[in-house]
Amino acid sequence: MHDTYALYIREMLIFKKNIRTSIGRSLIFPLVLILLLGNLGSTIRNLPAAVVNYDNGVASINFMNALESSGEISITSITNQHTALQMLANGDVAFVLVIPPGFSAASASKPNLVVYIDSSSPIASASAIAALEQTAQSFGAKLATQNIASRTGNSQAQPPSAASGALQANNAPSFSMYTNYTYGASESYKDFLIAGIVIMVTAFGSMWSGGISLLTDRQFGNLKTFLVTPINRMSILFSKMASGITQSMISGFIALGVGILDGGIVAGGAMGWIWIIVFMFLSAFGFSGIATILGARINKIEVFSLIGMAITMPMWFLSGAFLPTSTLPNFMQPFSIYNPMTYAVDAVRDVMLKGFISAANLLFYSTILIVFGAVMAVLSYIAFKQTMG
Amino acid sequence: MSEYAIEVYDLVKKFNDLTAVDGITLKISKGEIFGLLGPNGAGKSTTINILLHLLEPTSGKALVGGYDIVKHSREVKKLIGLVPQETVVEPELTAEANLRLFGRLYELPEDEIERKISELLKLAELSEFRYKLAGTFSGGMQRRLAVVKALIHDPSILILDEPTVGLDVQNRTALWNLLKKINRERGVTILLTTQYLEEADMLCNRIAIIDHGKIKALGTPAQLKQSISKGFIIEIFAEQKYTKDIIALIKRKFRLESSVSGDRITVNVSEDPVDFLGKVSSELEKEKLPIVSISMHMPTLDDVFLKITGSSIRDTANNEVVSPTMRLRGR
Repeated sequence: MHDTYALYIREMLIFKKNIRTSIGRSLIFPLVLILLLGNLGSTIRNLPAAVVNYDNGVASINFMNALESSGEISITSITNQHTALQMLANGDVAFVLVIPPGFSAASASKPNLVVYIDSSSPIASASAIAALEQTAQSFGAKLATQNIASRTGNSQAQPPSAASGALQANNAPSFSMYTNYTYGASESYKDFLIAGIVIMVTAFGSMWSGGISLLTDRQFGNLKTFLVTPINRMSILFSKMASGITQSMISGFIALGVGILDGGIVAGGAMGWIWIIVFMFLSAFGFSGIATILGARINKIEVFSLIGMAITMPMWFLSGAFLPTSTLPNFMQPFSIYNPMTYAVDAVRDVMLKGFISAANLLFYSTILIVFGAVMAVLSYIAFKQTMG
Repeated sequence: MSEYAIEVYDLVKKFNDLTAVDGITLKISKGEIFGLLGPNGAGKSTTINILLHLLEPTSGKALVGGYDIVKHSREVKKLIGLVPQETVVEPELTAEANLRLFGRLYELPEDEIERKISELLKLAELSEFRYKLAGTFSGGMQRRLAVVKALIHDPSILILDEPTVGLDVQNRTALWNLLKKINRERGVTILLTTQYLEEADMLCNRIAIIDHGKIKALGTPAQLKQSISKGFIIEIFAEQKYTKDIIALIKRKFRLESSVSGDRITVNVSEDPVDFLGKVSSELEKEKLPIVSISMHMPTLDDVFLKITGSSIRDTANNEVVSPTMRLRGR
């Protein structure tokens, strides 16, 4: 214990010495991703859209002009719904709007507008929905926002009925629109992204800090000087994991700070912060285990980086940090289910966007992450014992 | 307690089919400065790593301060201070933090660590650099810090692996003086490995010449040199096609045995060699045997090494550098 502490202090002193580089490194990712990617949704211009106008009345033309006048959407008129849907399938357009016959008629009950949205691109669909809503509102529609995602208690899982191609109006006297969001409490992609980035930065931070320092210590011979002292050899492993976790949690908080300064929210309040810390810790713990396994076995920093990247990059993409995992193609879905990072991201996203996390989910997510961490810790213990013991 | 600081009996270490240490037996007395001299890959570092229990011996036995290194490795570790081959200080920590870390790893009380830091920095003449980062130190300063770092727990044995590799003459001498001072004033037994003959000659009380994992010779530097020749050594370089004739001539005219290694002929001369060099060169001239050079000197450890291993330590060390070119030429 005493040895672990002494070595931990050493790691942290080195970290402190390099604080500017370390902070800089942990700032770059969240800054780039949250500021650039997170704000991408609000700057979309000329989103391609196909409109199938079966009405051709004055009101429908006006509706299309209004939709286009914001500059966000660029409309192609298609006469045939089948062709328009083909374009959507090919990714040529972000959504298809079908204006049914009778829209321009001055009757009390207008027919429903039907919208087909490409749900694989949350940024595009969010801004399309925003533009449609705005236009519909100016045409006197009563907007009812229906939040499918938070009602089902799982922020990432269910694509709204938009996936099957609907932005359905109901049978209200004047026409109205229901908007179904893919995720959480807000339509902003930024909020969706922040949770993913925070976990990503935390997990990968522990990958690089603990593992690389184990490797360089061996390369430069420092490890030898520790091994000839009468310490318990495992204290070297423990100190590496502990310092890796500390450093990566600092990075994670910096990422969270960047996100919040950029307008992100933690809907869960004080309790939410506690859960965020818990899940950051659990993912940092598991990944510091992976890092020490690699660090104990690999002798070259280049190889470490390569293998580290090969492990972390797919885990990151498959965790739903960027896009809802439901948007992944079918063959990738199992990978995201068996990816422990998915659950950390889900947990933090629940807390940040929905403001709560159900007891069942909490138990489920934390059990998976604790098992993941425990398995990695045992494996790194074995790897360390084989190569150092 | 044993009268020896280190005892090694028939130590063998095999890495798969490579035998790095091949039955070494040696005893190092307390208070000695003992040198393991040999080229790269001779088995010096492996021997040391076994003593430190960083490697398990394949067979054989070693005792440090009377403790078996395998059974009582914890006690052994407290007796030994190590200065590894690489300059190992923590470059991102201050001199003080470097020493404090190891004080803590040896579980010394904090107030004693404080006292030792001042004492050791003074010994290494680094007191004024106490709060400076070790990474900003020169190579010599880092090496001195590494040496005193190994003394933080008052070990009775200091083991140094190639302590002066990469140091300039001035720093090398300073380090030798520091080691002599540690040995003299603190009674610390010093075991060092080196491939520098002059280092072994200047610093060590006794030397073991080690090659291919075996001890080839053991004794004081003077004993080893005398074992070659009590007088002088004549060294003749000539083209290889003439070496046979030159050796024959020297045997015929002077009744002296010579040995040859490549283009180098060495002759041990025990009697008073007044103008001996002149006589030899005039005889060679008479016989029309061309030579490249001829010289005479007191025996050195290099001569000892040459005799024992059949090649100069410098040749052996150079082999690694030369071989890639040779391979290229071979193609």
